Amino acid sequence: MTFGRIPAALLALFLLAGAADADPAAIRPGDIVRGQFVQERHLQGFSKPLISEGRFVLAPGEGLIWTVQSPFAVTTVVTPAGLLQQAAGTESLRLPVSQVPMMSRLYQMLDAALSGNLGVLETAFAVTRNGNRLTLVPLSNGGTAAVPFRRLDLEVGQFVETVEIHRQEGDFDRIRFSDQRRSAGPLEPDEAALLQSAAR
Amino acid sequence: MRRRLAILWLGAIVAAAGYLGWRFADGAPFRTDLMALLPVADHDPAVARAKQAMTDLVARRIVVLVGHRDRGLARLAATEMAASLARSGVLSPADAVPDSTAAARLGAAYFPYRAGLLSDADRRLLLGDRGQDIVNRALSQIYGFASFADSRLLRNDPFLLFPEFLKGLPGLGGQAFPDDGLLTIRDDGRVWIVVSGSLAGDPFALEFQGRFQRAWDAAMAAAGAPAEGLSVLRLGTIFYARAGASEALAEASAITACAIIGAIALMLLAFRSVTPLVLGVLSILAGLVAALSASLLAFGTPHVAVLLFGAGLIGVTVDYGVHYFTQVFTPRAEPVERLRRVLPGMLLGAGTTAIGYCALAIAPYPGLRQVAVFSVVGVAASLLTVILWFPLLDRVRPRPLPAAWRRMAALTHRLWTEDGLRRVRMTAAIAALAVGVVGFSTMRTEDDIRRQQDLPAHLVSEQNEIQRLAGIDTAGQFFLVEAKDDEEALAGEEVLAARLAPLVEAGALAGWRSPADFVPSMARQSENRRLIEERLERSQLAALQDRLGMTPGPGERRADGFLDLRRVRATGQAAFLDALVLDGTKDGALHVVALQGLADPAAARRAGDGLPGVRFIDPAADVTALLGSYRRQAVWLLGASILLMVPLLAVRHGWRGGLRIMAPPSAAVLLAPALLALCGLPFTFFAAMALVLVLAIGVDYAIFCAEDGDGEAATLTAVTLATLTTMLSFGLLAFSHTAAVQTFGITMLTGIAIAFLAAPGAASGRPR
Repeated sequence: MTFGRIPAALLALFLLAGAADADPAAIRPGDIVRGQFVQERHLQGFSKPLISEGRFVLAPGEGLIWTVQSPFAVTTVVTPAGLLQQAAGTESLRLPVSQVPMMSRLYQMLDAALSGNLGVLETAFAVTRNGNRLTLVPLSNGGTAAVPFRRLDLEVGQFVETVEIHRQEGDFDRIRFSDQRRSAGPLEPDEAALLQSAAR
Repeated sequence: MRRRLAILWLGAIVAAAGYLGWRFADGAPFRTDLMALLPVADHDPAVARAKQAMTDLVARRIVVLVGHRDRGLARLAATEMAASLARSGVLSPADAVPDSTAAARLGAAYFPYRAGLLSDADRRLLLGDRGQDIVNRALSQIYGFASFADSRLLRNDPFLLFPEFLKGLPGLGGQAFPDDGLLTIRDDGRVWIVVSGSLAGDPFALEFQGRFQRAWDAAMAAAGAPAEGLSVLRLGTIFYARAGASEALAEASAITACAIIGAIALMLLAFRSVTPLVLGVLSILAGLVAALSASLLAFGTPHVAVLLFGAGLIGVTVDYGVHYFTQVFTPRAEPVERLRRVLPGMLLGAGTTAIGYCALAIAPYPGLRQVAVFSVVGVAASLLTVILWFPLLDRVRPRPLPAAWRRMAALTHRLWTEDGLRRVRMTAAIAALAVGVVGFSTMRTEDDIRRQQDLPAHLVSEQNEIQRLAGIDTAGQFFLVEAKDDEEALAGEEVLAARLAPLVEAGALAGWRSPADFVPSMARQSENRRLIEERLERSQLAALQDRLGMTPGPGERRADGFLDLRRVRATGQAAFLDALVLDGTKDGALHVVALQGLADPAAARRAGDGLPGVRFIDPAADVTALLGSYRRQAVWLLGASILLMVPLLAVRHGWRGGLRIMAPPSAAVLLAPALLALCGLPFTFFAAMALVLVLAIGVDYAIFCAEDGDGEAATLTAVTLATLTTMLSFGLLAFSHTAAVQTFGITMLTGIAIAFLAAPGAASGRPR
């Protein structure tokens, strides 16, 4: 129940890196992408979408730091070794990759995508392109059993600009990215420390 | 008259043989369980049932890890292996890997009862009135990157308590997690796939072991074919049992063959005639037939161990035939004359042996009693056979004793009689005293059966590796919870859990599994409901709903009643729970709390102290305690029988003579364990049982020597021959690889040797 839902978020991570598709030379190993995001969660039976804002740091091969600043401060760190979530200084979720083998498979796909090998994507998803819009539908035998969403829509510019994750029962998330910048490494010390702590 | 008695005795033996045939026709009428050896007062059917259930759970289970650096190859090999084992029918497919629908079915069974279900951590938070922490966790999970909270879950469980509860349910495979339909462990660049299951037969049955071995070989071939660099780790009783059985069988048949060939050669060599051999075997067989049928009559189904120790009887009874037939080396040509010459010694010998074994029967230990009855009847029947049949069947003419035998026989006698060797005798006595004092001061006892079995090292290291990788380490020890119903049992387990938790923190225990981990007691469920209502919903719900913009309103239907064991088990997805709840009790509930990674059994035992209906069961410790008490009993009774034998001997030889006769076997019984202690070998139950035999046989040697008085070469030859046959049949056991058997053999070898060397001393005091 819990574990099955993780890959949706991981896939978003993968798609962030999918910027490489727009400009294959854009992200090189050691590069770091930083940016802002606004996420809307549209849930059935809720009077308004849940909106959160924050910033992210993506270091390909090392991991992702996803920091929600409002309305509730929570930091999620995803690395090849696992996932860690912290709120108000305490750990609220920890998923080592040893407990969710699928995470490491998605990381393999991430690596493949970063090196421009989009074919790996098509082993798990039906991919449709329409201009700068990309639609991914999980294949029923795609090797990622029990994928917890029905469809992913994304808009790609120089980076991925928006991602929509369509879930069951009409729920969906829309994430808009802004102010994305690419820079050469290394990570700030506090960022590196966060990635370290997720690997512990 | 003699003829009529002989025919009567023949009739009795034939009848006994017929009775045996009838009993054996329905299969071997022996018990093999250790319960049958417990002192009568210690029987407890509930404990027996629980032990059996745990044995089935643990002993029938096999876990195999198939590992390769390549995930695909590891998966392929494991799948091939599992399919091959399933096809052969030796492994029942009960341990299906939980797929997403299985987890969903289990989740669906719990979901309606979510109002009363809390994870341990959440429960502690609420008891500490820290509901805000739970709200913060919910918010972080709702807003965080890895959000699994959808609208349906949030409507029904706004604090996200239910996923936490499910996460806290005991996992199925330790550290293994389902990856695309296969339980998988990743470790240091290797991918291990778990193949596990429950055996379709008894792992201790030889027939099933054979079938399993063939199926296993085929499965290994199936798995090994596609990949180089494949590793396979095994865990399971059957692998040990198979290794033990094949080694024990090969070893036993080799040892037995050597002993039989050696004994036959010896008899033929000594007598140069077949008659003594045939009649000797006849008296042994008559003894065994009578002993076995008496045991079956007296005990119904005696323990199989009785048969093993009873076989030691051969060592006693063979001596009667040998003793009788060495008379052919004297001028006595008439069988009746020969019998008359040896009869007093044999009667006295049989009498002392009977006393020795009867002493065993004093203790309330079924095993010792059965050995006693078996042995006493066997000795008596053998002796009767010698007395009644030998004179009628003996046609052997007197013949000269070969010179080599005469010299050999005279050797021990000279040790005791030659004046020139007085200094040697004194030195030997002082040395014996020193050995005794030092040996007894350094002696240690050993009752732990696990150290008396030789487990194959490669299997042990594979098992350790599996336990490290998978975290599967179900201890042999467990708690048994007896209560009037499931509810009371679950409540008892919750109290026990509170006492076990500190042990986990202290590192004395890795964890436990109890039925209450799957289904909280009703009392706990209603307490949980109250906690959630009072400390979470009342103070936090409105604010949370407001913050999230949720429309307040009821979620999906919640069940009115409480979750119970039946409902969870009905999903068919809780195999481990099924194993912990023992069915079939007419009155009340019987649950097992399995322990994992138990480092400190004493601490676990204390945790259960004073809890009504809760008992700590430690089968290995029970066996150790049982062996220990059998060992102590055997030693006490050995001492008692030495004291009891003296009066019997005194009737014929006077008090001084009686003591003199008892001295050599007593020295053997005391010195043999002291010598072994000097060699660093521990004193065990098996050594004690060997000493019982050493005493019974050693007394006979001393009696034969004392009866003879004038050092007749025939008598000394008889004792020498008897010693050689005994050493052949038991001494060879010293070469066994099973420590218990080896101890028995070494003790026999040493004890009999001392008894033999010392025996002429019993005679040397008598006036010539």
